[in-house]
Amino acid sequence: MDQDIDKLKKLAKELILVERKSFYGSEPERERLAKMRTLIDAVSKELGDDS
Amino acid sequence: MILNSVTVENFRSFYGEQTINFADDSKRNTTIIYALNGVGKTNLLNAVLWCLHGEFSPSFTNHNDILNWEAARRGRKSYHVSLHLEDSGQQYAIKRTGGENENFKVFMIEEDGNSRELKGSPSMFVNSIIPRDMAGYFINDGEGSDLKVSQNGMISIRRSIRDILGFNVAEKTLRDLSTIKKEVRDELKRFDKDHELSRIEEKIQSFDDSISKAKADFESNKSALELYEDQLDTVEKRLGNSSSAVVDQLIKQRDSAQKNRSARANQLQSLEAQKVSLIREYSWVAFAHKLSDEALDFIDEAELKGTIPAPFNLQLVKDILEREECVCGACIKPGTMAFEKINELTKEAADPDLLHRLQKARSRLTAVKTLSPQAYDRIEKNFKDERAVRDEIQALDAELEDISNQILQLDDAEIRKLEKDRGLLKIKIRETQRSVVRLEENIKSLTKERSTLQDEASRIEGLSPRAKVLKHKLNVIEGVETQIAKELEEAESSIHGILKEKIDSFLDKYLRQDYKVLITSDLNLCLQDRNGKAVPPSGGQGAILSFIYISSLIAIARERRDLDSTILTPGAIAPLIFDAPFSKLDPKYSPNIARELPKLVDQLIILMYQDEGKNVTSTFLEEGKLGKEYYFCEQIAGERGDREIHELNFGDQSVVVTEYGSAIDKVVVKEVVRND
Repeated sequence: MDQDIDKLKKLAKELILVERKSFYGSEPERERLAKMRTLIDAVSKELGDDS
Repeated sequence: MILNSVTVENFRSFYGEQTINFADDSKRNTTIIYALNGVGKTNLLNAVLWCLHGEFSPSFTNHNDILNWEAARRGRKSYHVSLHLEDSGQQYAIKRTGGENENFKVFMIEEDGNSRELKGSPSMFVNSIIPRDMAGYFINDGEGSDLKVSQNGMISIRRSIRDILGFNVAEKTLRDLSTIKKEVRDELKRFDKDHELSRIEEKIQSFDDSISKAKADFESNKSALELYEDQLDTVEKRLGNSSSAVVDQLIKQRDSAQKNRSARANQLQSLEAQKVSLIREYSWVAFAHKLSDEALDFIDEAELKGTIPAPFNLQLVKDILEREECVCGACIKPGTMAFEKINELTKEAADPDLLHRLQKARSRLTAVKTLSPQAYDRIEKNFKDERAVRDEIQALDAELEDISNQILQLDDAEIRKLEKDRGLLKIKIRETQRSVVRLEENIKSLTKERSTLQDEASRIEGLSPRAKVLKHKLNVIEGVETQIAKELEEAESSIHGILKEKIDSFLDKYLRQDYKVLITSDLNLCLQDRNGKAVPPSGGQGAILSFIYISSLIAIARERRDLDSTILTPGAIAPLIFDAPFSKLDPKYSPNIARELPKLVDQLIILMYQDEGKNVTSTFLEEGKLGKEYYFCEQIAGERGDREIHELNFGDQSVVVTEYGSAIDKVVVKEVVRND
């Protein structure tokens, strides 16, 4: 359970980083959602495999 | 960050290249730039903002019309602004070009004076020094950011606080996650054949919407309640300060009755709680009272008749069957009628378990019989006490109403008005309190129903493999949303105390005791006069509130510069650039503010026309804070004619700020050199 929360926290941090880069203009806005989906899929798969 | 200089070229009113070197000394950290209205103060402020972030302040219009008119006439296609600045001991140059050749670059200035273009994203670099969502508070056009007044005189500062706390990226992430969640739910509809899960998910979504609406209503009601309570407090204080002996006597009487009522209300509350616990403790006794009488009578009678327990022992019956011989010596063979009859007796024979159960039943029934009168006495006493307290409260309410009526009939219009206001506020408070309770219950029940739906969703079986994956993905997204929302909530709830402390401290420094500021728990702010009356933030008071509020935001941003958070954007330390901040301010407060502002920031840049008796420049000079002074000289092509010549005075010298007969219209930046 704690491990799951740690993974979710890590994912939150990574998603914020993606957002930050787009929000502050260093990366194109349109790539943002695609990157987020990829990160979510990876963690979702990882957590699914764990359970 | 310390700004060393700004250079503007063909930017709005500035034709050709103009440079201002700011005061960057830590002691003399203030620069004043004097200019007539409409000559270029706002243009300069916006040139800095645009160079940093490619954005303009809210009051700056015609964003596509930046190129200086004279430069355009002469065939120039581009304009540019460059800033030289220092951050953490390192020198940088930021250059932005607009128009035909758009360009944005950041250079690192080496010790030998050579510059090297910074690798990576220039905008990320600039945002790491001063995030664009915070820049507008440092580079302030005096429009007061989001100081919009609601009907009851409150100003919502939640947005600006969230900007300074660095919420924007996290909030955008939450919005994006909501979009992705919606996509996943749409996909789920395709793979969830019988639509059982997707129907539940749709309901959850609608619950989420209702919960967030109820929460917003709850917050706004709580804020209104805090305001009414504060206003009531002020009205009561003013009534209490009356010089009339009659009013004084009535208020004392009311205070005492109110105190008494409040004590009785607390007593009633504890009696009600006691009633609930008595019911919990004795309800079974009340229900079992009649039963206990009948059951005990039955047990006693059966025992007397020897039917319960059976008058023969189980062990004895078993021994007879085993030995196949009765106590009278008769032979009891299996298969015989006698054997079967004795065997039947085992069902009713008295065994230790039965005896134990019987004892237990008797003891319970006896307890009911003993507790019954006790329960009756205690519950009746509680009811009686409660009735008595309710009567007392009713009598006190009548007394309070009578006092209020007496005050309303007094021959003093001001007292009558205050009493009327008090009555209205009391009604408002009562109604709002009810709304708050109702909304709180609504939120609880919606949250409970949502959680039931989620449990229901988790129990659904027989999903297709793809639907299972999607369901799991939804759970992951919700988990991340919870983590982000939790951190935002914690940051926002901790800021209330910090903001209050900052505002009180600036209030004290700037205004002494003339005004007070009320901040509600959901970050609504209100400037009040000594009588507790809300002062609309327009005109002079608006300027005061703006100074206090912006100063507080900047102090908070400064403290959060080294914030260690993965969710929130850290704060900033940057120069405060204020456009015409003293123009609307009462001269009474200007020197205090001029004394305190340079202490608040590492660097202060003030754009203004002239002092107009507000002693701003003289205070900066007295305090030894004024490092540099510039003025904008408007050079006009054409003859002066009857037009007025504007002059500015610096000590014993005066300079002309409107020159006629120039070859072209332009604004020229000139440094003030004081003789003293």
